[in-house]
Amino acid sequence: MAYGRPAGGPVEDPDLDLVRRAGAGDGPACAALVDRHLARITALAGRMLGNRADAEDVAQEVFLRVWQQAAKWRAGEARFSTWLHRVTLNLCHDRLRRRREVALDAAGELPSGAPPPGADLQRAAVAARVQAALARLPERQRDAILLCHYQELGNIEAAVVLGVSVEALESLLARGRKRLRELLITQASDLMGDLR
Amino acid sequence: MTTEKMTLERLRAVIESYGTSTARWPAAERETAAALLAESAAARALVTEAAPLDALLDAVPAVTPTAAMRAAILALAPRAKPRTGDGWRGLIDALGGWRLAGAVLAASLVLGIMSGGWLSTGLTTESSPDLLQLALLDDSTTEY
Repeated sequence: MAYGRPAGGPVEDPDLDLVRRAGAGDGPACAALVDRHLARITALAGRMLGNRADAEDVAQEVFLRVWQQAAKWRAGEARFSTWLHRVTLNLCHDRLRRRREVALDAAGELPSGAPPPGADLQRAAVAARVQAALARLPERQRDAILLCHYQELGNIEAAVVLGVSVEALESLLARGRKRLRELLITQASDLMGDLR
Repeated sequence: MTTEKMTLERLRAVIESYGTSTARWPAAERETAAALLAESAAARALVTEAAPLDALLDAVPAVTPTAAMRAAILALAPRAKPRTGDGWRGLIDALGGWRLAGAVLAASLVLGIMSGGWLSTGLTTESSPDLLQLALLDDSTTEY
C-alpha cells in the first residue's frame, strides 16, 4: 500500500479506529465504515463509468477489498480514504480499458440534437453532454477533476491519490478544465439555458 | 498558512485549476484569496468568467447507493471468530441458562444410570455363554 504521503511524518487518519475494528470482525464498525464512504465511492464510480450498474459493481468490489485489507491495514502509510479513492480509480480504469477493447469508439461523440422537453429531461440532457465531455478528457485530467471538483478532496490528498506533486495536479486540473471549456463552450449558452 | 498577499495572477491560476468555489481552493491560500476578492473588481471578474463551467459540472448528478447494495456489501464483511468456550456457552444459553442447563444435565445423568440398570438386568451369563468362556480363558491352561 505504498501510495505515497505528504512530507511531514505519519498520516493522521480519521478512519483508523473503524478500519481496525472492521478488520477484527466488528459488525457495527463495518457498517459505520460503509455509511461513511459508500456514497462517495459510488458517486465517483458513477461519474467515471457513466452508469449505475457498473458503479454499483465497482463499489461492491472496492468494499470487498476493504474487507480483505482491513485486518492487515498498516497505520501511517496512507489515509484510508486516499487508498479507497486510489482503488476505486484503478477498478474504474480497468473497466474503461475493457470497454475500449470491446468498442474502440467508446469515447463517442458528444450527444447532439435538441434536448427533450421538460425541465428534468433538459437537465438530464445537459448532464449527459457534460459526462460525455468528461469522458473525452485524457485519463489523468479527468481523474484530477473528479477528485477535486466532485469528491472535493483537498489538493494534497488528491495529489497523493494520483501519485503526483501538487504543482502537477494543478497543471492537470487547469488543462482538463480548459479542454472542457473548449468541448462545451460552443454549446455553453444553450446548456446554461437548459439548466435554468 | 501563508500570509503573503495573493496576486491577481495567482488567483487566476487557482480559479483555472480549482474553479470558483473557495471550498475547493488550497486551504493555505483561501484567506489571502478572499482578501483579494474583497478588494479587487478584476478578481471578482475572474470568478464570474469561470462560473459557467462549474455550473455545468455541477449538473452531472451523483449515482447514489441503494439499501440492497449496502446490505450486499455488509453481508460480505468480516465476522469475528468465535472464542474458545463460546460453543459451550452457546449451548448453555440455548438450554435456558446455568440453572435450567444443570437440571437438564442432572436428568440426563439419572436417565443414563437407570437405563444402564435396565439393560444389565436383561443380560445374563446364559444369554452370552461364548463371552463368558472367552473371559475365563487362561492362556496357561488352554490346550490346543
